[in-house]
Amino acid sequence: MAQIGKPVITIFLTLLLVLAPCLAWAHGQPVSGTVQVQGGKKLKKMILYLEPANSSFPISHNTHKVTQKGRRFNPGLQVITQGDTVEFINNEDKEIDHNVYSLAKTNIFDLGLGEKGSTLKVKFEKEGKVNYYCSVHKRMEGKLFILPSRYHTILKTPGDFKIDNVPPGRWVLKATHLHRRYKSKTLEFTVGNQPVSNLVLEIVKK
Amino acid sequence: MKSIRHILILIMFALSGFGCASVPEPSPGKGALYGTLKAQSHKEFLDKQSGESDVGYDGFLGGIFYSEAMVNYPRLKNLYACLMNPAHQGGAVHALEINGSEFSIKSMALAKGDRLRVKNNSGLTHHLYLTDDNNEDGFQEYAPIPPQSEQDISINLEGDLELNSEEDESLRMHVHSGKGLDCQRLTSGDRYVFQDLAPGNYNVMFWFWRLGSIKHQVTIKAGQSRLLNETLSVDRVIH
Repeated sequence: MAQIGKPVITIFLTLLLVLAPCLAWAHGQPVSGTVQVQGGKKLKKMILYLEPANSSFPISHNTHKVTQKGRRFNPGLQVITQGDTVEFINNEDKEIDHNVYSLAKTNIFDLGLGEKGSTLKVKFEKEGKVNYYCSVHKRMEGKLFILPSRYHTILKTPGDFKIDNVPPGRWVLKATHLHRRYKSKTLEFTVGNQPVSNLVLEIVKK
Repeated sequence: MKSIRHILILIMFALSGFGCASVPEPSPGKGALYGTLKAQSHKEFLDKQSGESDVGYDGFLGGIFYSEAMVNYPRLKNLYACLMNPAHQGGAVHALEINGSEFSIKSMALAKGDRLRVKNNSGLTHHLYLTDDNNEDGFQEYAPIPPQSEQDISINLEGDLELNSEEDESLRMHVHSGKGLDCQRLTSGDRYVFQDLAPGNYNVMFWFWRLGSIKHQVTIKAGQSRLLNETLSVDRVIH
């Protein structure tokens, strides 16, 4: 039994050493770098994301939840992918109705009135920024960033970033954020079978 | 209680009869456009309140009681009735103040080329800038406005815009700008009048930043006063 075990283990380890890079290639590589803002401005909540440069990727079908307790959308800012659905859940303690709507040109919708305990849903087919509101309550506002792919990360302040498991191919790195004075440059690069590092994405004043 | 409520409603109705708005008289060879602009809650919300239900927002005189947290549609300010009039040139001056972290007006519709006379009542110098909601490259910046001073800034972009300050991210004003837009600022229920219009076809827009816009095309004839009432609500704008 011991004589059979040793060669089996050796073959297994050899196969693992040979296949590991291939497996890593099939599962994607990490992409990392740093974000620099002109003038050193401490921009809050930057979303770094990847867009496929010359091909499309399968549409996402995830579902995200936004609650409405205390007459607030929570989370107030959410990042989702094209094809995802958002469920707006009225989990108020009292009998308080909410209506969720958006006037965004790429994603205009009105979900009607949702009573306590109800869930209203909307699917987002197009990328873009969406501001949405409750027509009943004046301080209820939320924001969605709908990205072209699920490869993204959120930075609280400018600095280092890392996006994991990026499939091989040609990609464009972009950033979006809440401060309208600034805009992001873009960076095109290729992911092969090695990690991509030392990217520098600049965010500049308009 | 119900009978008192009915009596009060009758009294208010009778009093309102004395204040009936008259039809504007246009000048010879000209026409006029007039009407009332209102804002209203979502239809489903209104339908629910008119139904028999223990759960509602009943006001003392009937109707809806709007709490502090709610959008008070019958009293909503900064609604705009706008006529797209090629004869209307930009260049009008609109007063605007910076008070702490707020602009004195939260939203404004105006003609491209109009100016905002900004009075900075805060303790900060403000570098204001204008961006376009639908075009990342749409951008206009202005010279800094020191504390306790006043400056005119010109609106040279068109579309749905936002006026912000580099120094204070909570300073925000929604702007809708268009070529030849002749706008009147109203509170819900107010009357608007566009007098002495040359006969022809006009585009009319009713707008509030949080409700969007409803547009019409009207034909004005000489000697005619055309009535156009409108109600802004989420369901009317979107559906």
